[in-house]
Amino acid sequence: MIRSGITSLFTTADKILFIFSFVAIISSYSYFWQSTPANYAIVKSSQQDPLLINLDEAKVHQIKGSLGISTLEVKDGKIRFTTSPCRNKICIQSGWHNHGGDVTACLPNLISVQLSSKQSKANYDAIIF
Amino acid sequence: MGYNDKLIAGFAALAITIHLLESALPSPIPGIKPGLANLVTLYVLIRHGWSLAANVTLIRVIAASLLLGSFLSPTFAMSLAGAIASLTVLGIAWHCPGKPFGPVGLSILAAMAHISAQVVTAYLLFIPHTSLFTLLPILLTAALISGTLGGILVSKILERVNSPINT
Amino acid sequence: MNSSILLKFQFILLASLFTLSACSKPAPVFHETVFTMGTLVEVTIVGADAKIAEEAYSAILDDFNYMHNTWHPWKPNALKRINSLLQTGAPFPIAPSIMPLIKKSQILSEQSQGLFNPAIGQLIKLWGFHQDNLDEIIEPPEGEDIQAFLKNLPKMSDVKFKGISMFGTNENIQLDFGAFAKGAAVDATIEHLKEFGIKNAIINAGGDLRAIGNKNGQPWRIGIRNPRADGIFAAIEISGDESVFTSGDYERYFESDGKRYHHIIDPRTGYPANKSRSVTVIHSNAATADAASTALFIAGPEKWHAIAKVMGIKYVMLIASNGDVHMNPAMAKRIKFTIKQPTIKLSNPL
Repeated sequence: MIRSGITSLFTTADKILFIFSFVAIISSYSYFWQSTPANYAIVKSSQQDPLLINLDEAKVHQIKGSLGISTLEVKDGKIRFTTSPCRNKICIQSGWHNHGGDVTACLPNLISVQLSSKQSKANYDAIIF
Repeated sequence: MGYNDKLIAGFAALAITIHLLESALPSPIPGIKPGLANLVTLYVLIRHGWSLAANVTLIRVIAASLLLGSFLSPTFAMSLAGAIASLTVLGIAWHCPGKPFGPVGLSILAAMAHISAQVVTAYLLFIPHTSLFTLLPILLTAALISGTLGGILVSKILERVNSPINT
Repeated sequence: MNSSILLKFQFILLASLFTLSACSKPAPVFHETVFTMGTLVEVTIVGADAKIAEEAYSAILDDFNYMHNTWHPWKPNALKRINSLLQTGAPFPIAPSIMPLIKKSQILSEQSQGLFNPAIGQLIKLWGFHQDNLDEIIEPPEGEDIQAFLKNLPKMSDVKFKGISMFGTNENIQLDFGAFAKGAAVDATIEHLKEFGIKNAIINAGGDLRAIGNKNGQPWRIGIRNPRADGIFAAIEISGDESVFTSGDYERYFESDGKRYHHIIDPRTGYPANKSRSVTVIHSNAATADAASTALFIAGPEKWHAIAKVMGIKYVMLIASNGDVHMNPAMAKRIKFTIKQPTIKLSNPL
């Protein structure tokens, strides 16, 4: 009874879709993620100029966003939101970040923190002048 | 008020309630929610067709944002983008010849479309940086899980509703 | 009961997980920077075995040091000996270490109608650019000295070859390859990397850049530094085998009486070329890109198009001294501004 119930829940197309989605998602991890430890973070806000933060230097940064001040804490090469005027505090709950190419954000306060593994180069492979 | 209007009003009220309850839930990772309000969309789609489902969903998105005070805010834009994308995908999947997808498949498709549209919206409107897409795998994983569970839930509900005792 | 279908799913999930993790190892990246050729050279190698990358890197370091020593424009070396021999006018045996550079620059100098002219080392020296520290320069040279030099302007065609001998036909000739030497060095070292079986790499010699292959299937992203402020003002994606080179009036210069004198000297006037701020060129060959960017910089907004055509350059961006941005349509398609897009004056296709 239960067994026939569960089986009937997935049509053939559902099963194919599930497997396909699963495989696609797993491969998207390796496509979107490069996990080199970051040593710099670039903080962008709608209310102030981009800020380059050295992750090797333990410090607390105050960032002005569209709702108010968010606080970023840097410690042991990692960075996290500690306070934010947003409603859901999602940014704070997301915890520490330290992977190059990783990004965290407080969407309501319009602040993004982008971690980078190369100094001042953000997303360029080389810079010419 | 026609029969369909009554259905829309009733289901929209249910969806709005779920939407409001859900927005009060804390979420461990940004953007990840069970998407229970979308289950109403799915249920209405299967029982009453696409246009009713679209009505219910759009009313839900607008009304809930008015109640939450987020109307025309970034949150609203994300919510609306997600709703439109999942309705579009559902519309296509629902009208596929032979109706290959069951509630679970439809639910997965809707959840994926929903989250992908939200990420793209966030990228276009708020964080124009490609590294935003590094969140995509996590969000898609969550969408697959919540979509599958949601689909199973809707199937169970449909089973109950369709069983001889209730009719 | 329902566990069997769940087990089935779990098995499929695990199986696909293993398959995928096996084939999605991230490509190793080798990245080193070193001071050589009078600049900071940055070597990036992607997707090669760490040991091979290390070996290739140390091999091209030797190349760089050799070329730096041989081609340096004012230190005692092979180039200096050849310069003094060329000035005598007497034939002497061909110097193999410098021969390829001379041959190539003769062609490019001819194509550029003499705007790229590495034979004017004396003029460069007269301006004081033959020293590392430009702060020591107090004032520009006397106009009379410049005019005297221009009366007998040496050209690359003044270097002649006859059998196994070579000789000069202008007593003012002094070869100074400048950035062209960097370009040639980048070309040589990229070829050397290829011999090591390396397929994906960038060599960036102080902004003189050539890239081969790509970065994990993605094109290389190259940022172009803002000539009048800090930061990046444009980005170009390159892949396959391409060089990007920018000549700018901000690279080497000195100031005297509030006036700025930069190192790109117009061989026709004897003074720093004043029609452009910078020229960016994309070409498969780094040395050609160097020569072209110098020549087009001197040519300025009116004449660059004609000269680029003769030199076979397909992508050019020229920022004129008044700030106007000139480019050909193909370049405009590839360049992405990271700042507010300036007004672009599109030329005819090249």
